[in-house]
Amino acid sequence: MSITLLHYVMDAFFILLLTNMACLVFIFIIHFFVPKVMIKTYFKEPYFSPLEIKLFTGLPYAYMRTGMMMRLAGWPDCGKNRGIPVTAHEVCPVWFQVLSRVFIRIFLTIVALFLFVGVVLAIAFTAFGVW
Amino acid sequence: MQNADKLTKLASYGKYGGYILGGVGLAASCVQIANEDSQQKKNEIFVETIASTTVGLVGGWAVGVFLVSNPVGWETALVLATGTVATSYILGQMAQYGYTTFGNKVDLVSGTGVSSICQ
Repeated sequence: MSITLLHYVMDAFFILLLTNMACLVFIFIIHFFVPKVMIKTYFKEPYFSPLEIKLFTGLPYAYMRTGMMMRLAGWPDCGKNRGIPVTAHEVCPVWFQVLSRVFIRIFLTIVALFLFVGVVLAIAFTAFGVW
Repeated sequence: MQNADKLTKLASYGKYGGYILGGVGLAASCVQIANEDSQQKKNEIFVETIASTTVGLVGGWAVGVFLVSNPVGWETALVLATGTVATSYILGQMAQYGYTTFGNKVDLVSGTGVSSICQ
């Protein structure tokens, strides 16, 4: 791999890093729009353990609960292992379901690309003896 | 009941751990930036901190998305947390090398106002 090509990969790495930051800003905003009724109905025992409820309520891990609720809204049958009914998504508005499906897909694509570029860079850095 | 109390306590420790790790990490980077004379080194520390923090937060959210369909025990949670920390460290180092090699003409520390906060 030439240095020029490595330059392009590095550019892609930083662009993806900035995109990840943008995703975090979006997650921070959407955190306040997660339907309260969904949290009240499903983020409780017996679906979640007392440890999870305590850990994912308030700072600093509450944003992870937002991810859980968005997944549940977008893919209703994903909570089967926890005993969450497949009708769970019905308590939240359609816009939240659609947004969750779209955002999680985009987010996972960006993260997968970022990790892929990271692995390519790690191999290149090792080959060039940069580490 | 006693077990539930133990779990709740464990969750509290986890939360405090998050505050301490995040707070201490960012404060330590700020102190490092303040103590460093070279603008180049200040920028390298800044880029590494921002990259690893971003990757850590993004990794945490991805774990959250995964957790709803796969309830895990504390052993798996520990493995996931360690994996996220390791990934964020490696990608942070990578961002630092990338900045040193290709982006060192951009003065991010002054541009973002971090130099006036961490002094």
